[in-house]
Amino acid sequence: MASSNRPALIFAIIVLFIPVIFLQAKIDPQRQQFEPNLANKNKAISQLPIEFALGAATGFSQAIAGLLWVRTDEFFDQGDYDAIIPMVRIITWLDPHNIDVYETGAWHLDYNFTDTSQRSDRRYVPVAVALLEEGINNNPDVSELYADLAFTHFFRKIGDYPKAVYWYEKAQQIPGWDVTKVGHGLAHALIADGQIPQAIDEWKYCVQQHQLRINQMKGSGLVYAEESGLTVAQKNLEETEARYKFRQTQTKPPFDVGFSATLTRIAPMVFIVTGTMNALGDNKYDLTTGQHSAWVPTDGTRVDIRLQDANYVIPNATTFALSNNIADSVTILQDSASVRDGKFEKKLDMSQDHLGSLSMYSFTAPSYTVQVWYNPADPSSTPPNVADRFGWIGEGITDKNYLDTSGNIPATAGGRIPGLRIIKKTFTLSRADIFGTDVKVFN
Amino acid sequence: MGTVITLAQGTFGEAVRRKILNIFLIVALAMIGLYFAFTSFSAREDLTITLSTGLGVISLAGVFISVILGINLVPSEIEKRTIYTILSKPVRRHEFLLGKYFGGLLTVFVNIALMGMVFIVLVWVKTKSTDNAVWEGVVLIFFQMMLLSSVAILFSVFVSPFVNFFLTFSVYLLGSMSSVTESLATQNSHKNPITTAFFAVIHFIIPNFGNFNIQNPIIHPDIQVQNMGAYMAQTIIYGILYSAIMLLTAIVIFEKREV
Repeated sequence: MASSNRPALIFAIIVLFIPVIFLQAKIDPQRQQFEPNLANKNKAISQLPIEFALGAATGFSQAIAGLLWVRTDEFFDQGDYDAIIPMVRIITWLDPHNIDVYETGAWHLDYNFTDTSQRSDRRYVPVAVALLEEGINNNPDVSELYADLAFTHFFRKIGDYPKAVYWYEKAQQIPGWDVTKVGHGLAHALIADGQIPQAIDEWKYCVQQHQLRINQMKGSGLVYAEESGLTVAQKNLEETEARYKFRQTQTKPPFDVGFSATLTRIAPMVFIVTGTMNALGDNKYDLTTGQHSAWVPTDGTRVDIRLQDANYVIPNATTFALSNNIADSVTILQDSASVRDGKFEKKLDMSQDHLGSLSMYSFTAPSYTVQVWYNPADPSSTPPNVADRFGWIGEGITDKNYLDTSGNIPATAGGRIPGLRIIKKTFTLSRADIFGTDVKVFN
Repeated sequence: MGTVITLAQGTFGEAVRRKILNIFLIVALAMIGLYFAFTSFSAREDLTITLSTGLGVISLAGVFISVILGINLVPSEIEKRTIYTILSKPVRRHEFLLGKYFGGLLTVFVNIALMGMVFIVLVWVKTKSTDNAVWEGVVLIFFQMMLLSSVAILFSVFVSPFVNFFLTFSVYLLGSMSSVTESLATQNSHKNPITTAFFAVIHFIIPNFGNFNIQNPIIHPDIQVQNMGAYMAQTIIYGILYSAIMLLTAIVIFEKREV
């Protein structure tokens, strides 16, 4: 190459940089979808032992995250639950697209930290929600995460049905949503939220979507799941339509459930909740005609009980931190009792779990509330045959002493269902009441 | 062009006979195979580890093969004085350089293709399905190595192989952190505009190897990637253009160099 070509080559080099810079500017905004947030990845690496850190830093982030998740599983098997939280934090920093870790980690936070009577520690619930919301932010196209937040947490654990509806509706907007997991879940959440015509529309939409997918999947092995989902959706659609029609009249006039609740301290930090509640139902209900025999006392309902610091307000979802320090000084107990023969009873023994500042029941607040309530909108508290008389959201019940028509759902962060009628009694206790040694009855 | 092809064929033949490159290839193949031994994990976790490790091993082995090959192609000819014989024939310096580069690139291509095929066959054995995304990952690793080889050959015309090794690795590491330089180059009210401008220059001037890393969505098929085809095309064109810049610069320097 002649030396006279040198200026031309240098010019060509400079000119070539123009498309290179242009391409880099086009590539930059697209790259976020391919890699973890680097600041978080570096934070994760700084917390790891050297062999894991080296692997993560040299391009094996997902493999290291996978191996750490396997190690986390071992912690779970060994019952070392506290070790799991920082692992979940580090793994999701290293690999923010690992859906399993968000789902299992949040479920673990919600359900597996328990007292000696297997009651879960409710202080972890906002943290679990924060973890899943972070997962959704990192994976906005994965409907499974929205559905998991809606069902596992807001529907099942918290009972905040408006929020469950909100997240299910978001899940249903994402391409590739699962009809059974998302569509059926949304219909159930709408029912619990008292939006029955919308629930019927959703069941119809599910039927349509199942049929559409069955046609698209013909010949595929996956069609079986859609066919099975279609059968369930059709059955639920028919039942919901029939019940919506018949409950308009069957829930009138409202039935007085004769609710009462008494709280008895039998030892320091040990209480017994007893009470009465009459539930009506009919096991010989004909859904095609709405015919039924006389409403009779029926078992199967449940009342909920929650003791907490009097000034405690459930925090909005906070960030999921590495050392997830929950509010150690907060005391919350939540349980439920089944109603049999019109009576319920539950022992609340918090003495076994009062082990200092890290216990579930530290009792450091000056006063406490104990709420005992019956929520007819909660499907785990009201079997369908009772709901046929009591209504979707309690339109068929009343109580001369404890009817609450505010619409607020107890034990939620502001959850509200317009028209909801619940039965609720609240006790207020001082710290001295908690630690008193003699038997004392609170009314 | 014929001269370049002849030189490339010779370079490829010579590279294939080099034991160190074969050792890298064998170790990489063994590691890919080893990770397929994981069967005790949950299906999803098992595949995550396997895919991540497989692509990571191909990438890492590709880096070592490209760098070790690239830093020695020209200096070894000078050291053995064979360059005099070659340049005394009707071979121009830029043809020599391009022949060496394309011979090295062919070697890298064969190595990555071999590892990629073994990897894809093992993924197929494990999942009983083929996924184009795995191929896309392997293809982008090749273009990443194409760019890395051009960087190595540029440095090889004016520094010793020892210095070149560290220099090329430094550029690779810096270029792999393109998300950091991008972040530093982003304007906000808390940053000094001069510093931001400096990092913007760095970000756009250095070869951004990070562009080619697309493992995450491959490992997690749930993740929806927007316009993958356009991204692939832009990144490949970027790699080709940047490699051309490196090679032209190498030619400009090599033309003036005393050998």
